[in-house]
Amino acid sequence: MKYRKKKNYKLLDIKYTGLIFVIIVAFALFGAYFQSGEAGQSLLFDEIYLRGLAETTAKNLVAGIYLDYRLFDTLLEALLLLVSVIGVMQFSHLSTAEKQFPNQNKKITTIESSHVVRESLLPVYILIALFGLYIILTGMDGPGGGFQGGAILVAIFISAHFAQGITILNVNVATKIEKITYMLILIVGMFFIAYGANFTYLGHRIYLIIINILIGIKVCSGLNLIYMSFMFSEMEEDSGL
Amino acid sequence: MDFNYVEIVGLLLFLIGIYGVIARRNIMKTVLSLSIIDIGVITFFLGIRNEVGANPPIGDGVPQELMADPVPQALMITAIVIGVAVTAVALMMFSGLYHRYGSTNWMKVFKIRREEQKK
Repeated sequence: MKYRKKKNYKLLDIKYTGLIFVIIVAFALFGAYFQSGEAGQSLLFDEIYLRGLAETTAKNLVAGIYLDYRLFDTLLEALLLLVSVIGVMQFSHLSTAEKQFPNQNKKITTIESSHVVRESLLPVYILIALFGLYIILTGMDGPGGGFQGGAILVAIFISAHFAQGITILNVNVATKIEKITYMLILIVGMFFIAYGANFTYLGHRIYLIIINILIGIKVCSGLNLIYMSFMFSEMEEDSGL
Repeated sequence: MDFNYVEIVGLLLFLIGIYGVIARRNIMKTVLSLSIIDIGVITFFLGIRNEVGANPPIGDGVPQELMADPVPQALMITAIVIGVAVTAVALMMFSGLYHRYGSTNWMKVFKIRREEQKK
């Protein structure tokens, strides 16, 4: 009897109760979704379609929105990336300090990447850099922008460290670049908010290019820092850093 | 009846993520489930007023009926960056927790903590 009771008790396992809960949530969610019907006409889209190109001078309306109308949003988004980099670095120090369970596999075999890969990576870097710069510089007129271009550019640093073992951007240098570019983004953004109404067409274009480049550099160094702190928090014990 | 499949896929991804957060005790899988919830929300927002064959909101010669709505796209670029930041911090916190307690299971970590507090 006791055994049977235990078996019945297993029906209240978290997997089954979770499934029942998710089914209830699904009924509520899909019921509300099918009740709500289709989305109507967007007045905001109409206004942006009419005035966006003339006011922001950006052919890419998305870039026009997040670099002009919703600039505060972008500033806080860049701040959030900075805070996340600070958090990752802080917790990486914590994880090395709290290390109570040393790595069981003491013998870590290091395999050198092949000569062909190491020598043929330079043209690949040039191509990645060209593509990233193109995405950043034409971000306001085509698909792209600072965030996307920065994420492409960081591929150079990551693959250089991963395939060749070269650290192009040091952690200290990247931290300084991160801080300085965030301050510059704040200064340029605040300047635009204060005096942007009087800008001419050329002024708007220069502002868009400058802020896209700054965001690209900031995202590139931030993602590089996140990668580096993940690598070194695991490698610290073995590499003797 | 015409369904907007992008929105439905977004809702389904959201539900899968909710189930992963509730039913799995592995911390790594919880972080992954949070990322799936994030992707579900992004997919749902991108599907609002979505039409098959709509042009991207770029250029000045495209008529408005053939253009996708840029407002949810501009909102979701923020959500993508926030998702990346949250995932990075959560994974690094998990790394520290794993080195401290030596387990990826929530319940085992709770038990070890309780025993340590009794001492």
